[in-house]
Amino acid sequence: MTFLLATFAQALHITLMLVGAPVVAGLQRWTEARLAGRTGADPWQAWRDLARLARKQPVLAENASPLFRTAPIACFAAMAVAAALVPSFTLGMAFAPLSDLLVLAGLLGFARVVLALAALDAGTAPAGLAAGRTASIACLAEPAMFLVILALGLLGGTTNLDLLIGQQHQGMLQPPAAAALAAAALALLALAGAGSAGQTTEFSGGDLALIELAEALRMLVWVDLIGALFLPLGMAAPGAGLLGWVVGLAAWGARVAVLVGGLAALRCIAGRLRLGRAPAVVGIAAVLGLLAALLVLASAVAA
Amino acid sequence: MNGPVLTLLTAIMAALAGLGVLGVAWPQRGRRSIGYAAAGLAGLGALLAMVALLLNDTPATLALPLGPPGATFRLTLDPLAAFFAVLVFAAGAAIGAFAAATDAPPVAPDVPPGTLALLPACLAGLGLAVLAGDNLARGTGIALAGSAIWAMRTTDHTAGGTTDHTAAASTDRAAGAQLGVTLLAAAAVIAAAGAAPPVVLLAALLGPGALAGMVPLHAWLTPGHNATAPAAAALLSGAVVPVATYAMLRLLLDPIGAAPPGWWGLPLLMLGTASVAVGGLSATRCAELDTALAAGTVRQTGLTAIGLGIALTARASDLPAATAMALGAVLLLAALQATCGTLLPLVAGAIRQGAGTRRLDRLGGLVHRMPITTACLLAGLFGVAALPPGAGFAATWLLFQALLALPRGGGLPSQLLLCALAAVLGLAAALASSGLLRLVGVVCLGRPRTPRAAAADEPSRRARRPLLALATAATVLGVFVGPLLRLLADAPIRALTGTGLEARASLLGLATGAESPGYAALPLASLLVLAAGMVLWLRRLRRVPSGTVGGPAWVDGFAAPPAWLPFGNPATQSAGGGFTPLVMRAKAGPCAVPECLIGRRIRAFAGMTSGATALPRGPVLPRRRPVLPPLRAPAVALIVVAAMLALSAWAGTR
Repeated sequence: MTFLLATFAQALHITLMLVGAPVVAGLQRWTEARLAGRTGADPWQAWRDLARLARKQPVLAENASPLFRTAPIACFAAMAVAAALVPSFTLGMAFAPLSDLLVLAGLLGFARVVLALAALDAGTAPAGLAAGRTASIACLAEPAMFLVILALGLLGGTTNLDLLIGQQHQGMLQPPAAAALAAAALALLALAGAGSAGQTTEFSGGDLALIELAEALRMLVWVDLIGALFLPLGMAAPGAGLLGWVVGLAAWGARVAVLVGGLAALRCIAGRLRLGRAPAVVGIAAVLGLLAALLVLASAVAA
Repeated sequence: MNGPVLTLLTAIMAALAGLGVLGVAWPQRGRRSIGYAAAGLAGLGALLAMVALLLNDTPATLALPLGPPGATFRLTLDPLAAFFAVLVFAAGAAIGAFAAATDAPPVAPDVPPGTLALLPACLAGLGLAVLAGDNLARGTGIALAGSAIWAMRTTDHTAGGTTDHTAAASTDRAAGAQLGVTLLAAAAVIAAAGAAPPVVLLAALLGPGALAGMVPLHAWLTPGHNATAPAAAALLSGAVVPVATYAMLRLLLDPIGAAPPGWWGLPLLMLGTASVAVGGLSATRCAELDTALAAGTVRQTGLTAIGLGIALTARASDLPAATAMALGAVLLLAALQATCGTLLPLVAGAIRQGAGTRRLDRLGGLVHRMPITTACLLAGLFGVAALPPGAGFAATWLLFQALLALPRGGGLPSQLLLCALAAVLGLAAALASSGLLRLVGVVCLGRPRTPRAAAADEPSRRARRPLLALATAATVLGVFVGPLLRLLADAPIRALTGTGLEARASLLGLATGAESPGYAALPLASLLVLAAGMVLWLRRLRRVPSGTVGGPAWVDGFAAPPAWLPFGNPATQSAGGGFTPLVMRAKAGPCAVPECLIGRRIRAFAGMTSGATALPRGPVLPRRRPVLPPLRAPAVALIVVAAMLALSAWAGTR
């Protein structure tokens, strides 16, 4: 029975993530527009755009190889699996044993590399430049990400996301300051790694729709990860009944709305992150991750 | 059962040595037959060693009627030796098959023996190094193998009838350096027998460490792969490096029960960190394919050294689980080196033969003419990159979990070291995936950069078979990492430390304990395939137009290149620059390969110039300087944090 419930919860979670990702991206754009004094397209416009693109026949560059058509599928598959592993409204889903922070970082990296390879396949200047830029930023972002994972691993004694969220839910991730530093580092990493800017210039039709869906999923994965790890209020415990799920769903919606609203407000105030600033942001994230890890180690020694 | 297997393996090594003598005596006759026979014998040896490993019987010993005056060589077959014998013989079989399939007839009747003639002798030496029961035999095996590779490399350019004497002299110098390092490693292994513990550590670092390409004695390896036959490069990378790892394991962790001092891990961790940084950064800067691959070997050796350092530290602190996980990572990295480290130089050789060059700025677009070679290059680089579900990711995962299980005390320096190691694992992962992106993207994707690259040819069907076998092995190793480690690595780790991997490696993947969740490679790969399959199924269901319309690239609306640039404007495609971290800057000059800013500063300080001709500079436009240039802000933050930490540490000691 528990297995069936966990499987059902997992299926519901995947459906919510897939359906919700473009809506959340649309919501963020709508909020940003409203805060800037514009009307803005309604949040469902993102789904309409995807449906329109999916109906179109792709146009391929002369030089494109079979990898060019495979890459959007692989990129989407990696992001869909990553989205399936990050809990949204309940813990103890069927894939909970698979949801490891290192695996999550690896899946994000996999999607990034596949998309960059496709960008290089086109053999054009803008896409190639964007692919190289992605790789070079990742060389700074990955060490920072590993530092954050180290801090969280030291805090919880595991790198499994489901267990870490459960511990945070019960207030066992001590000291809280280290968790807050790790959260700030993750938020900065999400900001710095945002977007596949420039890499998708040669994609069209259904391939572009898949990449845009994967991009929306990536944003929701980051929002969900940060929200679930550091604000797991209302999240249903493993084996919770229907009422727990309803509360969890409401809490998830509120959490995503708050974080997306915060992101839109940040972009409205500070503007979008310039590409040249990304290394500085990643560097600050690394310092925050280092501080978080040292704080945990120091508190462990003091205890 | 180990006794008869050891006897058979000894007979195989004797047969390989005999083949080597035949090849040297009659270099023009039956060259391909010798290659295929060596491949067959090595394959048989790998199978026999696998049987011994799976049966996990008591170790067997055999005394040979050979050796220096007053001593005889002794062979031993235990689980660790069987594990490495599988790797070395399997790599040898693939190299032999590839070398025989790509062999070209000699240009003159009186040429010296080349790669194929010396390959069996090299495999016999490597087999002796792995199955040796004492340091004398092990050192002799390493020296024999190294000498055979040196002879291969010094005779290859003569056999090829080269007229480029500068290149020949450069190859001879590189081969000489390789021979010197090999003999140094052999001497260090022999000298470590019965020596005091610090001498053993020093011997392991200077001998097998240098042979594996560990910093600071790594410089010989990069030109070592350069301008040499693919088989010799593959032997160096895929067989010699695992043997060096094996020699380090024997020196540092054998015998069981004698726990090493706690500080033994420190030099390995520091040299491993340096190797990861130096090798990884070099791999994203090298302008030639095989040199970049060799630099990747240095990065992988760094990870191995980090694994060994963690294992030694954990063993000194009596943490069997962390020791087992770190050693599992070391053995997995050795297996990766034997598969991907063999595959990649062979692929580089196939590309050099098919496209006529190894320079990145003269390749490109090979996926259209060499699709199988491209797939093999991708599989090899994906294997070593820390991307799931590849084997490289599994090794990184194991190393990280072992790092988490290390003791957390020891004051600020050891805590900082722990954090630095985590960051280095992340850096290694990023540099490996950056290397994948750069090499596959520049060499195989995009537009061809030269007419020769546009007309490249796949290697023959016979030559493709070993490449495909190695690519399949690398993929299987990643997806089935749990069961394979349980079957093949559990017994060697138990023999070394007394504790095996046990429930940490299962059918589904890897875990930190019996009840703990972990990295489930097989379910993860299944999920990825399922998600991709769902997309394809939905496309078919919705009758989305499956056909595509071809057309010129969009290029953000820029005009098409003129007719006199048939491959487009070369300046619009990266030739390998731009994949490095932003702390590196591009060197001014026609070759857009980035150069380390620190290196330039040091050379400028020493009054040295790079010799590159700077491009004429255009008018300098006024540019608004940012308030805080990139990287300045985190650097300032890091300095402040470091100062605070130093202050707190100083206050703590008062």
